[in-house]
Amino acid sequence: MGIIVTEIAVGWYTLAFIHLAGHACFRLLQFLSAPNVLHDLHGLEDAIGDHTTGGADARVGIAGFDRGRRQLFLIALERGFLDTILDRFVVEPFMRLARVLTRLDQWLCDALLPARLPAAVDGNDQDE
Amino acid sequence: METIRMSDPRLWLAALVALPAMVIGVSTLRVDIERLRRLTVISAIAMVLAALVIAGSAPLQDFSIRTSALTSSPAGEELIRIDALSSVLLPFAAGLWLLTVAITPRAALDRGGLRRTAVATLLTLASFLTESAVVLLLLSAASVGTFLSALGDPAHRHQRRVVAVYLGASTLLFGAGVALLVSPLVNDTRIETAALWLIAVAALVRKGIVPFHAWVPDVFDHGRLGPAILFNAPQVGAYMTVVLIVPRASPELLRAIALLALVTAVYGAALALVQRSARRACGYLFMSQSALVMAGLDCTSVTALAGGLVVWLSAGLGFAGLARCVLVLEARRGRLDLTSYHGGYDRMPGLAVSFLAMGLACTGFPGTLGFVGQELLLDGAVDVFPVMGFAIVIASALTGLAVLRMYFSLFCGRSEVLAHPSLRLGSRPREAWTFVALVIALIGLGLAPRPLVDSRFDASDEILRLRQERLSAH
Repeated sequence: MGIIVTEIAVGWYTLAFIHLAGHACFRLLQFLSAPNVLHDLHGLEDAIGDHTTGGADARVGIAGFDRGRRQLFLIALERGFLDTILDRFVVEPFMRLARVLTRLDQWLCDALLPARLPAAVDGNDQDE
Repeated sequence: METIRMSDPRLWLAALVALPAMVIGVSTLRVDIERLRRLTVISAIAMVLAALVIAGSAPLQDFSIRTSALTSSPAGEELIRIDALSSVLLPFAAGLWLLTVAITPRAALDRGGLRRTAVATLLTLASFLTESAVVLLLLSAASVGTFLSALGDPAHRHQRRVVAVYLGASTLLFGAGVALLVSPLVNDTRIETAALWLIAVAALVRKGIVPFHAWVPDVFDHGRLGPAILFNAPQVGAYMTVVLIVPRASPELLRAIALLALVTAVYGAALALVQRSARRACGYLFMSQSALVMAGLDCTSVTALAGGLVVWLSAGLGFAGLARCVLVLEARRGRLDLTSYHGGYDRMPGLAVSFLAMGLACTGFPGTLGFVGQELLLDGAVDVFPVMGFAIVIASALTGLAVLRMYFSLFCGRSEVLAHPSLRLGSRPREAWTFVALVIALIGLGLAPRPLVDSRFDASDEILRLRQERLSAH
């Protein structure tokens, strides 16, 4: 993608477009073929009765490194906890503010003219 | 003796006025209510067709009656005129009337209500045909009176008072501004500026722009939704702005209005997202859409102005359709809250798809008329306000979220109450056909927008030319 942006920056728009289209097709094929590759890999592992990467022995290492790798895996699995961060620091304050402003709007009408009567009964307020 | 030909604009204007006038007349007689509704629907269809003939025929758009009786300007003003701006607004007003009378639930039909729709349409139509400040003031006061009369029952006394306070103040400010504008004192620049500020504040109140907006969600939520849609959807406040303020106002005034409108567009869409009541969410969505129109009209860029004029139509039709869908659902389920999922897509798929299509048209979704308008609006607004212009993008995104949240809540999920299979809860053919026609219009104009966009550019060129002439004369 960096190369494509560079091509746009130097004004090679046609080349950038062809590059972009080719890149999109390539990625599409990768996505479509990913399940097949995984299926073949599992089939291969079933056939040889072990992991193709060398099994558990290949993953023996320093305990601290293993823990770090697990945490890294967790962070990657949760997409860097981006959803949680957005929820806590953007969406929740935004929703709280919007609710406060809604109450303020209601208060403006009620403070102006305090004698609010019960809302209209369903069906009676649907004309025209 | 002068013969009247089909190419005579007076004939078509007379037809436009005669159709709602006939409904008003017949509604005073003892006619069966279902027959009166049929007559009203037929009149509204005929009015839409007549207005489309005017909008599609260039010779019919060159008509005006000038007078100098109601203005201090020696050149006079156009008391009645059809031009590029008004020609497209006529089918818009007629379409809103058709939408109203075709979808009103049978249980809620009454003569007074049908008469009020015809009176409101007549007043809107007359407003779109004049550029006289005095006539606009009188028509605006009359339309506020019509809206107040719809809130006359004791259950809506509080909303009636809220509307009376806000729109009464708006009418008084408008009256004061017009009095200054038509007086000989207007030659003094300070007096003219004061008059324009008064009219601008009146238009802001009428359109529910922050900080004069509190009445809009309250009336949508606790008042009567039908009259609120018919009163607000044509956006006569936008017409007041484009005819009286844009050609005369200083860049500072226009800038102030546009900035307030951009803030309101985001504010309305953001608050629509957290509402529990579907009606209140409609009120905030209307505020947001109406503010987008206002932002475009006050940007002094041809593109933004043309965008504002297109959004005026797309948002008006899309919003009116969306709010009417809520009314149709309320007729079957009672008041709707958005905190749970009500289901019902399987019983009324047509209504659900129409709701989504009209909501997406409000959002500016590609393939709908809203996309064309918002694209032009964004293009022009970012030129004028490089930072605040992006508020349009934020407002669009928030509107999209609010519309989808409403759609999921109103049509998706499992229904809590299972209705007896013998009950007909689907939409009626009359409702279905009206919604389908509206969606076809919004998507058709979105896929082939050229004629409409060209006519809106012509109108915005004309408005800005008039502004240049007035400013250079000063």
